Parts: sequence; C-alpha cells; structure tokens
Amino acid sequence: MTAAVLLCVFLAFPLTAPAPAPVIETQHYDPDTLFEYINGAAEAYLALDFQELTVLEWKSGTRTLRTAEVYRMRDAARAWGIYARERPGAGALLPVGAEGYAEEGTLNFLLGPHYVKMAGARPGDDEAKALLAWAKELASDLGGDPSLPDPLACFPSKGRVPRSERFTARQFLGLSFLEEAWSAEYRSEGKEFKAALMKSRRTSRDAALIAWARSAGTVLPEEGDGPRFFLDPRLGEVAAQVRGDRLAAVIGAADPKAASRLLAVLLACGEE
Amino acid sequence: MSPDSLDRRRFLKSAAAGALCAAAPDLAVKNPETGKRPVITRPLGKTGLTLPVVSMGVMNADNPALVTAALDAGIVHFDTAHRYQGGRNEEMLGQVFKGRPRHSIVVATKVPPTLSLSQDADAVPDEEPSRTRTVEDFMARLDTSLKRLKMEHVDILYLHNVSSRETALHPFFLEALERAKKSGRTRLVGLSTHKNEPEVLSAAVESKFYEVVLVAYNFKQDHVLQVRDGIAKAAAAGLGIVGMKTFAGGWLDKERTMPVNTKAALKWVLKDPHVHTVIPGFTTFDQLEEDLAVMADPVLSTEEEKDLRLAAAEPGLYCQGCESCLAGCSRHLPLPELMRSYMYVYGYRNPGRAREVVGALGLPDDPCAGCAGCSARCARGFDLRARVRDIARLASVPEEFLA
Repeated sequence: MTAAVLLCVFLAFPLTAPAPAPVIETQHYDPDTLFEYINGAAEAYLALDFQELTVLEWKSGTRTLRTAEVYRMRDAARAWGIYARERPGAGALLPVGAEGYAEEGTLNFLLGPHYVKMAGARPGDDEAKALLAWAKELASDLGGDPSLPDPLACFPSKGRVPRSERFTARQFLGLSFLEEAWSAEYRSEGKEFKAALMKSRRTSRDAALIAWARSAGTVLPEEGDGPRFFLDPRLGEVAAQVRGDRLAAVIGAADPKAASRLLAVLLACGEE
Repeated sequence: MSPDSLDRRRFLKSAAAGALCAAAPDLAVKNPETGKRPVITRPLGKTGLTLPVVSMGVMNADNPALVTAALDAGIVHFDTAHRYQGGRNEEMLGQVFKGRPRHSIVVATKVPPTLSLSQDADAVPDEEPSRTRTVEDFMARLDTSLKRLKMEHVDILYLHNVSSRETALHPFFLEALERAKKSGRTRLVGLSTHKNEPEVLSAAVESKFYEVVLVAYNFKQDHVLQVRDGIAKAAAAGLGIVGMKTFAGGWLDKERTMPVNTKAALKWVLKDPHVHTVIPGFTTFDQLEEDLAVMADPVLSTEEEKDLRLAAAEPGLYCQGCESCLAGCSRHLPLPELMRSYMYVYGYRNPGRAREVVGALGLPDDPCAGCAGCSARCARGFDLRARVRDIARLASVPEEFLA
C-alpha cells in the first residue's frame, strides 16, 4: 500500500460539503516517529510491531474536516490485535474490510495487516454515511484478504463473552515470558474465566509453562503431557497444557474438568 | 555540545545536590493493605488530596489483574483518558473498581480539546467553531467516560494534550471544564501537556482556574531546565503537579538496544519536591514491583545517579531530522540523510540499506575533503564530520561485500 494510492482514493472521494475546495495533506510516520503523532499510545502499536502510518487530512483553511489514519502492522494477527483492543464490546458491526464499527464520529475498520481509523469533524448522520462510503472506497483500494485471522475460530462459542477475543504479541497477562497469545473471556454459571492459546519464538512451550508456574511460586515437574494445574496468586487458578509448539491455558476456571476439556479443544484446533 | 545538553547535565548535577538539602514534604505511612511496605505520600498542591508518590498510568495496560494488584499494593491514583484504547481502557477500570469504596481510589481522565463545528451538514466548511456545540460535545464525551468508568464523578478531569497557551485559556474549554466541575462530574480540573510544557504551565498559573497539571518531565528532555522552572512556579501557585513520560521513552536509542534505568529515572523525577506524584505506565507484574519499590524508597543511589548521567550524555544514533545542522554546512551536504544512513549501519546493522541511501545522494567518498573546519552543529551532539566521513565511503563499497 503506497501513499500515492491512498491519496488517489482520497482525491476521488466526493466531499458532501460545498466550496471552498478542500486541501489534502498527507503525513507519514514510521516506528521511529510514531510517538510524534500519537504520543504514549504509540507503545501499544509498537508492542504489536507497527510498521508504517499514513495520515490523510482533508482540510479547509486551517480546519480539518476529515482524517484517515492507515496503520500497517507486521501481519494480520497484529492488526487484529490493535483493532480488537479498541473495539467496543457492543454495538453494530459494519460490513467494511474484514470488520468495522462506528463510534462518536469515528469509523474504524480492519483489513489484512491494515487498521484504518477515520474521523469527521462534524457530528451527525450525514457525516456517518459519508465516512462509511469513504471507508468502503479505501478498503477496496487497500485490497487484501477480508477474512478474520484463523485462530479466532479455535475458541468455542459456548459461554464466550462477545468481542472479548484478543491477540497479545508480548507480555501476555503481564508476564514477560508469555507471548504470541490469542485469548477470549468465558462466562459459565456466573463465573468468568479466560482461555488462551500461545506460541513463542524464544522458548519451548514447556519452558514458558515452567517459568509461569515458578513466577507464581510453584515448582512443576519438567516433563508432562497432560493438563497441569497450579494457583497463580495474581491471576487465579491456572490449567495449562503443552502440545507441540503450542501452550493452551485456562485461567480462573472453577471446574478443573471443564478446564481440561477446553484445553483439549484449543490444542486440537488447527491440527491435521 | 548544544546549550541544551549542557543545561541538562548541569540540571542533573544540581538536582542531585539540591535533593540532599531540600526537605521534600514526604510522609511515610505503613501500607494498611499489606502491612509491609511503607508508602511515601505527598500533598497534591493545594487540592486537599494527598497521594502516594507513585501512581499508575493505565494507558497501555489491558490486564485487570495488574490494576487489581496495583490497588492491593497501595497505589490509589489511576490515570486514564477518554481516547485510550478507544474507550476500552476506561471500561476496564470501571470493571476493576466496581464494588470498591469510591473514596478509596483517585481516578483521573482526560477529554480532548476539540472545537466543534455546527451540526448543520450544509454549513460552510471553514465556519467558526460553535461555542455551544463545543461545550456540549465536551460534556457528552465526559458523560461517556463516566459511563464507561461506572462513576458519577472523576477526581481529576484534564483537558487532554494541551500544547499552547491559546488552547489552555480558550474560553470554550474553560467553560466546559467549569460546567463539569459545577455539575459535580469532577472534583478537580487540570490539563495535560507534553509539548511546549513551559508555556502551558505558565498559562495554567495565569488562568487561576486549573488545579492540577499533568506534565512530561524526565532527565532526557532537551529543555528540562525550563520545564523544571515552570513546574516550580506552578507548584508555588498551589497547583498539583503530576509527572508523566518519566522514563523518557524507556530506551536510550531508537533501536531499543539500550534500556533506560527506569527505577532511577522515576526516582530522578521524584527528587524534585514540586512533583507530587508520577504515573509510570507499567504493563507487567515485574514492572509493578519495581515501581512499588520506588514508592517505598524514592532516594537515588549513587549508582543510579551515575547511570542517569551516562544516559543523559548518550546522544544515541537517532537523527530526528530537525535539519538545524544544514545552515552550518558550507558544502550544503544532506546531513540528515547521512546521519540516518549512519544509524542504519551502526544501529540496525543494515549496511545494504545505508548504501542505497548514500549511493542515491551521489556524493564523493570524502565529502568533507578540503574543508578546513566543520561549522555544522548537531542539536543532538553528533560529531557530524566524523560520521559523514565514516558513512559516505559506503557508496563505493561493492554491494556483494555487504550481503
């Protein structure tokens, strides 16, 4: 995706407001300069391997009428990660890109490695319609696979809290050795718990699990194929299991048998 | 060496010495929750609030267990904003705080200073912003934040990310903040700033309206002396001072190979008795533990002081592209591009990329040859001549040698 393509889309899109003719300004940011644009919020994007941001501003005089921020992340999983982190827990989803939503004069959508955030200066329904039309144009020009990442399908729908799915590249659950984690919240009989499926580039699964238990004050045997259980005083009861290069975990579940069943489902997902 | 660098070094020295003499109004109380670690507190200006010197910047945290752990460890002040994580950050806090006594926590949020146009879609695009609309939109955003936080009021409401006197004193925003306070939606009003901080601090004092300032303050700031003076004046006027960006980005180099000693950086800010609390943005339990240790004992050790002095003197590899060097170069060399290439080689270890950039510039192997002395000056303190001579010869190195 080049800035030139984005600019063409921007210029081609009709603005509903009348003359004087608007002026388009573009800005570009990379991992070194993202702080200059979004300040401390850049940390969350950098933690998901942000690559490049193109900002399009539609201005009249000194007034910005509409903006589109096109964030390109390292891959679709990471774009999903930042999108899901900011997505509201309720409200209508929009058929733009892989998925989108509108909120408070803004419209955000996801498409492949791109996370696009758009905003209009003027509130109201007309502006919302104009933003959606522009978003569709932009999505069409960005191109790419309009489907959601595959690992999301690993999480069973029964009891899953809607839109609780997340992707965390590093420091999952605030623990430095857990990474590449897909997760979702569940609710069963009034009790909430979290399920996660992790990958790691640096350590074997078992090493990550043993480090986790150790940090929680428990010593686990080095070997073990089945589900293993320990109490993490910071997070609650943990059930975890390693298979191949994956670590599945259920955190905070009251019933060990139900947790084991969920672990089996997670680990079976995607296997040949 | 730039004057700013000298200022910063002098400040590091004087702050260290001054802290030994100045009697900071610290109070040490035993943490009632754990009964273990003492918690150092300071009054937040004349607001009537007293806070532990370490608070939590929640912006990048999305783990409720971490916030709960912070609460249980004695942190009481939590800083979020209307925009953080698209509002999800406030929602997460609302969930964590549900059921806790409201008086036991101090919640700060921020609403952006957005000037709204009329709602009329046919209005001319460059019309003047509407006072009524601006105030109403501000209040609507605040109400959304309160709903997400599941609260009837916040303790501190900031005008978010203010970088000019004009915005700080804009009558539309002052009216909105006043309405928020009079209606009981906030106990205190303030503004946050991480650009042109001295000007904004001065405007906050001038307003006789703001009660708290959330300000970027760290040992690496180029204009740290001016920020320190602004903070001192604001504190003298009775404003509460909350420090942010205390870790200076967390890394000494843009390539993230040299981490800042974050514990020392936090203690350095707290050595200034005019800073009442700080809001480090921890995201792991290990980081929380480090910050809690500072909350119990914010005194800089000799080793930590040394670390910060070295860090402050470290110019790093990153060229900001400020272009202030250009005017001084009699050869009109593209110095920012050359400095960036230097970073590619020595920071990213990517000489191929550097060769591409240098090759495209079409320079001789030694562009400084015949130049008696270098009159170009780098704001970051780079030795420009040495780096130019080092990097320019890369263009003549065969590509296959760099693979």
